[in-house]
Amino acid sequence: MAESGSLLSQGRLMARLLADAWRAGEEAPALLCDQRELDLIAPLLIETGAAALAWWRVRHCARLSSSPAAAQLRDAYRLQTLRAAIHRRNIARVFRQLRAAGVEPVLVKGWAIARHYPEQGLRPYGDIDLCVRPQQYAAARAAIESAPEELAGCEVDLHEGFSKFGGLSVDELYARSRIVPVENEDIRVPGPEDHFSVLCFHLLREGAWRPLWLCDIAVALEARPAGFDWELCLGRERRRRQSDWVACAIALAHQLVGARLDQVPAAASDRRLPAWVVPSVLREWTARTMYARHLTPMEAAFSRPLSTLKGLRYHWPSPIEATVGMKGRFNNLPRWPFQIGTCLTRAAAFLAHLSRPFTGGGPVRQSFLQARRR
Amino acid sequence: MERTRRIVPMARKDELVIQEVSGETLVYDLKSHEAHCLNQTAALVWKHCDGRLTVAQVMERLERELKSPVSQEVVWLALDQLEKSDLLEKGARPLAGYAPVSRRALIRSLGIATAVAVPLVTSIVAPTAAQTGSKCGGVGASCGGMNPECCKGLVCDGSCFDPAG
Repeated sequence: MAESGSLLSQGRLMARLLADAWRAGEEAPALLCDQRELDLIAPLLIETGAAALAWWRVRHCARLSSSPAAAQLRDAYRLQTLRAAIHRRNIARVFRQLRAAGVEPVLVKGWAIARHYPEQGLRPYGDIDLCVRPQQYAAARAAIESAPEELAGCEVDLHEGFSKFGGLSVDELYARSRIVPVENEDIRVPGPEDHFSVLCFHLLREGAWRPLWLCDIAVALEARPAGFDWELCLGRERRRRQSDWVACAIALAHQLVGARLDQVPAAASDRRLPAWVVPSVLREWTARTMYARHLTPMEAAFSRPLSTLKGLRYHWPSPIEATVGMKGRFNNLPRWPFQIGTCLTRAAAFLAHLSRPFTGGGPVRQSFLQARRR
Repeated sequence: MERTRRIVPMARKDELVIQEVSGETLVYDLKSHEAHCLNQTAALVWKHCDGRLTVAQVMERLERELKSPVSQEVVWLALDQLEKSDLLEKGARPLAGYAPVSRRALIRSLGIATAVAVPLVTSIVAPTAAQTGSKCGGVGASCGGMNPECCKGLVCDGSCFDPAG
C-alpha cells in the first residue's frame, strides 16, 4: 500500500512538472517543483520519453535548470532535436520509396503530432508508423523490404488499414487526410479530427503508460484548426463507446497535464472520470509495467522461458487497457472482469499463434521492418 | 609560426546533421552515430573553416563577429576540439600539436570574465535513468535483502539482469 502511495505521489509530481510543458515559457504557469522532487522523477521522465519536454519546462527556472538532473534532461532535448531532423529525412525517404511502388501511405502519431509542438525536439521519435490501404499492404511491405540500402536506418511500423487505431473507415480517412511538406516530399497525415481520435484511442489502448501521449493529446487539442469538426470527431461516424473514449482522453489530458478546453463542446469537456482512472494512469507512469512487458514479450516464451515466466506479472492488463481491450465503458463498475477477459483473450490469441504451422524463414530484417498484420 | 600560417582548416560537411537551437550548434555524425554540442565560439570557428581561411584569418572573423578581441589560442583550442570530434576534414597536415593550451589553462590566461568565449565542443550522451542518481540497481547490481531494488525493466535474481538481454 505504501509502495502504491509512493507511485501515485511520483506520478502526481510528473503530472505537475509536465503540466503546460509544451507552451512557451511566458505562457506556462510558475513551476511548483523543487530540486529533490526533480531528482526523484528525472529517471522516470527519461524512461518515458518526457525528458525533453521536462527540460523545456525547467529551463527558465534558475533553481532547477543548473542541476545535474536538469543537465540530463537537456541532453535528451539536444539529442531529440537532432533525431527529429534525421527522422524527417527518413519519413521523406520512406514516402518516396512507397510512392515509387504505387503505394500511398498515411503517417500517424510520431512526427504527425510532433509538428504541432513549438519545437520538434520536444518529442522523442521511434519508428515511423504508416497506415496503408489493406489492398496495398503486401506491395508496401515488399517495397520496404526490397530497399534495405535506400531505407537504411528507417524503422517502419506498417499497419494494414486503421483497425489498430479505432477502426476508422479507410476510404473516408484518406478522403479527409492532409498533405504536409517535409524535406521536399509531400507527407500525407490524417485530418485533424481523425488524428485526434487516433491519438486518444492509442493512449487508452496502451494503458496511457507514457505521459507524453497525454501531452500529445493536449497539443493536438490546442492546435486544432478553426472549423475543427467535433461532430465528426465525437459522434457522427463513431460508435458511442469510442466517442466516450475520446471524451475520457480529453478529460485525462485536462486533469493531468492542463490541456485547455476552450471552445471544446460540453459532450467532450464535461466528461467526469470514474475515480479509478487517474490513479491507474499515475501508477502506470511510475510502475512502468507496460515498459517491462515490452522487455518480456510472450513471443520469447520458448527462447527465454525463465525470464518470460518471471515477466508474466507484467502482462496483467491495467484497468484502462483492459477496458478498451474488452470494448468497455469507463464507469464505476469494477475493472477486474475486463482484466480477466483481456487476459483470456490474449491467451487464446497466443495459443492460436502457437498452433499455426511453422513456415520457416520468419520475418526478414525484423528490426528494420516491424510489419504487422492486424 | 610559418608552418601554422599555412594551415587552412576545413570543416567536415558530409554525413552530418546540423541543428541550431538556443545559441548552440548540435551536430549528429551519421558515420559514427555520435552527437556533439558546439557553443557559440566553437560553432563560429567551425563555420569559418572553409579550407581557404588561415587560422589568423579565422581569428579576425571571430573578432569581428563577437565584437571583442580574440586570442589565436582560442581558435587553436576550438580546432583541437573539432578535430578530436572528427568535425574537420582530415588534411595532409594534422592539427595535433598546434594547440598546446588546455581549456582550463586558456580560461586561466584569459581570466574568468572572458570564459564565456572559450570554445567548447561536448559530446551528447543519451541519458539513462541510472545517470540521474536513481537509487535502484542497474544491470549487475546486487539486489534482494538490504540491497536496493532493481531498476524498472530489470529482474532480480541475486543480481539485477535485463530479461531481454
